[in-house]
Amino acid sequence: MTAAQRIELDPQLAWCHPGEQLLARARPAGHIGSTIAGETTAPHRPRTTTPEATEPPPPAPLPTKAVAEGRFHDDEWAHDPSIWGWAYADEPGRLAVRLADLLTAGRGEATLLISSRRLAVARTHQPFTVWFEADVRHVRAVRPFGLLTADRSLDFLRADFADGSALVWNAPRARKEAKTVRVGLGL
Amino acid sequence: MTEPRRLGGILALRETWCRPDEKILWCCDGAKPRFDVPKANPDGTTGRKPGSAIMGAIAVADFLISDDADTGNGPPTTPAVIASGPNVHCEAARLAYTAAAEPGLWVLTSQRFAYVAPVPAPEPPPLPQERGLLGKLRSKAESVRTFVTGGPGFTAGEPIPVRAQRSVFELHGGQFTAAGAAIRERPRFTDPKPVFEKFVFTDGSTLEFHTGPGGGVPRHRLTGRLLPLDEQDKG
Repeated sequence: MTAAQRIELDPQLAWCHPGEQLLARARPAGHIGSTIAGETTAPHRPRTTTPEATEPPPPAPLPTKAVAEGRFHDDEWAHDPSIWGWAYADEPGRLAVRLADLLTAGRGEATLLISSRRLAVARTHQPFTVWFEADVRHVRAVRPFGLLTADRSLDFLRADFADGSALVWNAPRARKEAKTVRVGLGL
Repeated sequence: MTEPRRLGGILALRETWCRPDEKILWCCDGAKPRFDVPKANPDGTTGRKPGSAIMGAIAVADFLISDDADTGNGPPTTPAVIASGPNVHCEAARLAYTAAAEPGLWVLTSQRFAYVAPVPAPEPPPLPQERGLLGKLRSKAESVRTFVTGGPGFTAGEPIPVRAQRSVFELHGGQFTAAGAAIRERPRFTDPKPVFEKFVFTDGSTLEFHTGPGGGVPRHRLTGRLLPLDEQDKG
C-alpha cells in the first residue's frame, strides 16, 4: 500500500477512550536530531529496539554539514530545513530519546499523540497500531517557541518531561496547540 | 540549467564564515537602511528630490507634534536599520552606504560586528540559444516552473549545501560600543514605540537595529536561539 492509498484514522476515534481528549498530534516532516549526554547526532540514530516501518521513509535531503557534524551553537539546528525536531537528554534511557527513536524509525508513518491521559507514538493509518504509550503525567510543560530563518518564520513546540529530557518539534500552530495542551493537562 | 539551491542565513555563516568558538548573537537583513543624516534623504541619496520641501515640512511637523495628532499622512514604515550622524561622511553612514550596495546580513557575534554577503557565484556558462516558437515556449515554461516552485529544491539523500559567505567589513571591540536597546519615539514610524538596539562609533555616529516591539519573533532578525512565544499573540 502506498502513502497515497492509505486510509488515515482519526486518533480521537481510533485511539482515545470515552472521556479522553486528543490534545495534540505531530508527524515528523523531516529528520530528528538529538543531543544525548552531550553527544549530538543528526539525523538521530535510534538507541532502542523499534518496530519496523511498513514503508521506506520519504526521500529527504540530509542535514547541513554544520548540523550533521554538531558544529553549531544553541538552537541553530532549527535553521536547517531538513530537521523537523530535536531531542535533549542527559542519557539514552530518557523519554525524549524513546520518542525520538520511534519517530525516526517510523518517519513518514509514525505520529506523536498527546491526549488528556496518554502520550503515544502510533501509526495512524489502517490498521491503527500503537508503538509506544505512557502516562501523560510524564509531560511537565509544553511551550511554544519561534524562529525567523533565512526565508521564513517557523514555530516550534517544546515538551519537557519529568525525567528532565525534552523534545522540540516544528508545529505551525504552536501557540494554539501549546495552549490546548496546557489547559487540557492543567499545567 | 538553473543554479542548485543553496541555504543562506545562520547555517551558511556557521559553516563558511564563523570561527568554531564564535557565537552568533543575531543577524539582521541589510536591506534598505534609513539615513537620518543632514543633507541626505532617508534613502541615502543626496540633493533635493521633487516634492522634498513638502516631505521636509511633514518630517519637521512629525518631530514637533504629539503622537496623538493625525497629520493625514501615514508614518513611514519602521526601518530595519537607521544610520544617524552629523554628516554623510560619518562612520555609521559610511557603513550603511557600503551595506546598501549589496544584499547581505548585519551580524553581531561574540567576537565581531560585521556586514556579511554571499561570495559571488561564478558566471554560469552561456545558455545555448533556443530558436523558434518551441524554444521560446520551453524557456517560458522553465520560468513559470521556477516561479511556482520557488526554484529547485534540495537534493534528497545529500547534505543541504550552503551559500559561502564573506565579510564586506567587520569591526572589533574598541571600534564601536553597544549602547543597548531603547524606544525610538521620533520620527514616528508605523510601529508606535519601536525598540532599536544602538551601536555607537568612535565619531559619535550611530547605527540602530529594529528589534521589536512585542513578543514573538522580531522582524528582520535571525537568532541562533528559539524565542519563547506568547500563547495569546497571533503575530
